[in-house]
Amino acid sequence: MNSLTRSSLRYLIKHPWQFGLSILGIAMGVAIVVSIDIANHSSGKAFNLSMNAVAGKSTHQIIGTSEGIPDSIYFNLRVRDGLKNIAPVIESYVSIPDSGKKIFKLLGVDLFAERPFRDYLSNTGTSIDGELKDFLTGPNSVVLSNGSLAELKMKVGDSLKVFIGGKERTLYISGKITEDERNTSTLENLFICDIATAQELTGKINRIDYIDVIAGSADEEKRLRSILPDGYDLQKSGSRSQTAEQMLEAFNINLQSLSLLALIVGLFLIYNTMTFSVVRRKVLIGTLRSIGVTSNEITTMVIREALIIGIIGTAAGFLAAYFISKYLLIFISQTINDLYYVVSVREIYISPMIIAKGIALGIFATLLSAIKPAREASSVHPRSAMIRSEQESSLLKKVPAMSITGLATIIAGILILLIPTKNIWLSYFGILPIIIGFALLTPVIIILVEKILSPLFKYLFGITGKIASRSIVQNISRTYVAIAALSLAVAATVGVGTMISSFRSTVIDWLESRLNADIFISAPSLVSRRNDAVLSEDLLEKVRALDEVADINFYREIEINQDEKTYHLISSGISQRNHSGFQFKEGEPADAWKRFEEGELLISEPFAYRHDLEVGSMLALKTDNGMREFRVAGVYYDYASDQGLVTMYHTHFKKHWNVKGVSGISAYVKEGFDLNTLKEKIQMLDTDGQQIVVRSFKFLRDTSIEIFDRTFLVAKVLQLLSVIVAFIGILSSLMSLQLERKRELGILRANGLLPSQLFGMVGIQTVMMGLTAGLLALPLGNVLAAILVYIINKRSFGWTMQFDLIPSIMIEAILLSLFAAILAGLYPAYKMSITSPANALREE
Amino acid sequence: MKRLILINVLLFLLSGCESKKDVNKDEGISLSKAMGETSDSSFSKAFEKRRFIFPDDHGAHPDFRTEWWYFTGNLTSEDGKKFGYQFTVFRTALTGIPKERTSAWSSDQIYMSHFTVTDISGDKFYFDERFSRNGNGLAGAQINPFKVWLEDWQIVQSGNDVKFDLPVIEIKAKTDNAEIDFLLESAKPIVLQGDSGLSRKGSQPGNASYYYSYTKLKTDGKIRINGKEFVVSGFSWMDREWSTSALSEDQKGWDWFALQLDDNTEIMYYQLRKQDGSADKFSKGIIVFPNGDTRLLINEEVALSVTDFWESPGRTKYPSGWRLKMPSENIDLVVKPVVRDQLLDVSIKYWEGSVEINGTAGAKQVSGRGYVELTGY
Repeated sequence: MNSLTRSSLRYLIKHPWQFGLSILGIAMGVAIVVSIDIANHSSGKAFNLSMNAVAGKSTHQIIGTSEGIPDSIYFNLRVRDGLKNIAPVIESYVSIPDSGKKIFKLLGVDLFAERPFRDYLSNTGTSIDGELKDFLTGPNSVVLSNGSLAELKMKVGDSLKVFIGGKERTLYISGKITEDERNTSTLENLFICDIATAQELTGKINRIDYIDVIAGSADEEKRLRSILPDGYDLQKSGSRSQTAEQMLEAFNINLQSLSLLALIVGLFLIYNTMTFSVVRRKVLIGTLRSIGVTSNEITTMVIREALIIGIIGTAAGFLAAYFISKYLLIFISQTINDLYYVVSVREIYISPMIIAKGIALGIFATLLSAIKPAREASSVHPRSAMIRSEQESSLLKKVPAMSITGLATIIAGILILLIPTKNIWLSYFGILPIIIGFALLTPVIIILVEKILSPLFKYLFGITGKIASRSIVQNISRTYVAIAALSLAVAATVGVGTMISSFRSTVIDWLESRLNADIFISAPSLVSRRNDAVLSEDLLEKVRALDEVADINFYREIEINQDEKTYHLISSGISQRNHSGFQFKEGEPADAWKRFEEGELLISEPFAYRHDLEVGSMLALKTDNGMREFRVAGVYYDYASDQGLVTMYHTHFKKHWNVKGVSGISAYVKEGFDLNTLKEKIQMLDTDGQQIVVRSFKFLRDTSIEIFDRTFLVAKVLQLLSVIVAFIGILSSLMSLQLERKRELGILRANGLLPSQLFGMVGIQTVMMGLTAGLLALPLGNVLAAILVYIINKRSFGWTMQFDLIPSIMIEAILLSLFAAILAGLYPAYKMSITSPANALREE
Repeated sequence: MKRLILINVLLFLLSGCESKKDVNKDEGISLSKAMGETSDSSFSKAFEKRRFIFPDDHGAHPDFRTEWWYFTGNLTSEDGKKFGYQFTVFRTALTGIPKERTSAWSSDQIYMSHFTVTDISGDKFYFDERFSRNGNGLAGAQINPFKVWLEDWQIVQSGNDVKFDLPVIEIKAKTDNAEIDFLLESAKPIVLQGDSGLSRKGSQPGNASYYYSYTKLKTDGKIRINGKEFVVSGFSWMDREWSTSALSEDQKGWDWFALQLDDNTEIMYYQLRKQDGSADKFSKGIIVFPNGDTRLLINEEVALSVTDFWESPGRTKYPSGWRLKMPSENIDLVVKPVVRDQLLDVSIKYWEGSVEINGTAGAKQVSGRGYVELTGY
């Protein structure tokens, strides 16, 4: 170890606060980005694994109409056409009430067709270890993996109560599957049963969900397509995973970019720390230079320090990410389950990509932000090393140029944002120049604020106040970075907070106008956003016939898989009363409703955005009788699904799709009748074992808002983490700023400044900095919010939201800045005030 | 006797690791385990002789655990190329008392089928195996019209002609390499095996099967091998057998012979091998004379000796040449496989193949063709 390294190490050890806080800052930044990545990756991986477990070795799936595939089609393909590599599948979900609402996938298969498909069922891999006889002939028999059995604390021969499609069933565990290393995770969420059992458990009598296919060659694929009857499609095996990925794309990008925001804050912090450590050692560096250390060696020394901080910080960040991601994963998978599809994530998955990204961000970004300070250090002239004012005056000279550059950068950012694109990354990229522009404008704003506040502070606090405010400008080379970092962090919380609040009030307004019935009936569902379980049409008639019911609405939602995409189609039995609940973005309401009842479509805003449709466009949909074109009569505002919805009047829907049952019913109470009586009466109806959920308007609205809040919980957590990063940043930079002024303060003390005055001065100064940062954060934060509302969300999800200025969030922001600043000032102020001037003045 | 073992092995194969290990060895699992007493008392058993009624008895007997429709045959093409084939449909019941179910797929009857073609001139052997259930019409057996099928492998009644209580039938089956499509018409009356169709396999009451055969069916049709089609004709042999339990613990396997001699005589003989390799006293056979008369052959009447061996790729030694002497009928035959490797490497391996026969019957020189099955090696 040479003396330079030793000197550098000694510096780091002698300043444990700065050293530690820098590491903490980097660690937090890395932890947030990495944990979001891990959480996203793990939920995606869990979904893919469950898809793979189900898809096995199949290359394609034959998918049918909305109601699946009749048994007879499979019979024809197997027996008449002699196809060998095909296997019937029924998929459903099993929720287990006694196990903390665990969800498993139910997979119904024909063991005799399985061998080429799922190796855990054949004699080549793992095998079903149970009585074949029970599996095939025992009603409600299922087999589970050893792991799942252990998780449920069950054993072969036990029975368990579950819900499938909202109906209670008692399953009998007839066997277990012994896992091997390769498929432990694929099996862990599966209940496997015979195809006959699956039909009985799910009520899908005489039909299956889809047919797995192994088509080894293009010829086989072609032949198969030629055999398939109209209305049946051959789609590639991966397409279901792909659809799922597409569904989550916008959701994931938004999470990732939020995490990047935290990192940007972290970078400011690193830059600040490194600059500071250089500035602080100017005398030392000058001395080193004067005894013959070359400027290259100085650069290397600074870079090496940055590297040490970067490596330790990144390592700590990964460690923290591992724990944070476990919690994030709970929120993220909850959101996916609320909004998109059922996924059960039990494990954390880390990919090399995530590690590479984390390292790149943590270490290389640290090095990058150390380049400028390193260059500054190396250019220190031995003679001028003692004079810091030189640096300050040089920055002051640069302020006009910086401000102009800042404005230009902001304009460039705005131009990027104005580019009409559906690319979310590009839109996010536009935010970066705006942030940098703001940072560049910070010095001029500080000077302006000081000009205004300085007389005020002098008036209020006398000379102490004046010195305090002046010294912010005098130390501007460091204060501006700290203030910019703090304001950016606070702005990020303002931006995200305002966006969420705006979105929330938009959704609440929408819910209140849309849910205008009194009572809502549905089947319990695993995905909150939509009802995968259906109610019988009998129930609909029974509800309609009740004395208390004035009118009803009902709907049936189905998924259509066409062109490797999933469309959500709603068959709507909407009453006239509910028309007012729909706000049209395009289309004249009276005309749209008239055309709707004549068979045209109403589409939601996100659907129109995703598929580039407008009133008058034609949309082709895969009906049970083949492809049919429909005209779009109106585009309505809707926040129920970011995938978008297509709505069709139920009488026309019935002509094209042979779908039975309803997904939801809502009813209006007749005047003079009691709501609760009606609720009780509905609950008393004979539903043939079908569980129903009866909710009042208020309850449904509240649960919907609850889901909304749950969805944004991750964003809020991220917001909080960014605040913590910002807080650490401000703490470290302000603290070092004050610690560094030891000598200056010592002189003041020597000249008669009382410890209490000194305490006050440092306090005033940090408060002022906090205030400046807070004030700066307000415009930036609201600009960020506006970008998120009008550009990012619009482009990600396609919905129009109202934008609200939220005073409470802004007040919180200022308080946050002040709080961080005061806290950061306390320790140095205390330390300074108790230090004897002689000690303070002594050179290090 | 046939492959009673196989269908039961299927249960183990699909249901447990234990049997998986056994199957991977080049030998059968314990016979007594596969074919022994079942604990399920809901099945019917072959305790006593029955009156066979046709066509009903050509159909399935689902109250018995195991049943098969079994065809082997030797054919010659117009240009003199020789072929052998085996097509078998096995049924096994999981329970004697079916449960009420709503799904059309629900099934307590499992079907398995084996299909082989031996290209004697080309020295090639093709085989394939399939499983299915009788749910959703994927496999099954019916009598009116007669049809036994496993997916598109099918035995179906062809027209309304009935010969010796058996309708003229068409057999269709194909694999990636080989395909058959034959018309079969019985040339000789039905043969009731054992004691009027009750074939006892062990000393335990009920350890027996109902067993009848058509020993000579005129066969015409097409064989397609790797895309090349041959118009062929020759004779097939059909066995029908159903039972619930059959074997005793000390029996290890069997060697079964179905021989069609060119003097219009057929001989069936199976030798049950005990664990120690010796012949079980329940081994027996039958001789069918040109006029259709039959005579039961008991174990003591037949001297079977192995003259050659063949070692499988899995290093199992199979007999591959025999001398079959029946002094009581003055018959002395040399039986040789036409292709050495006719091993069915399926769920459980066994050797079953076309053979050629030369020898003497009385003073006359006779030759013929037939099928031999070797299990439990």
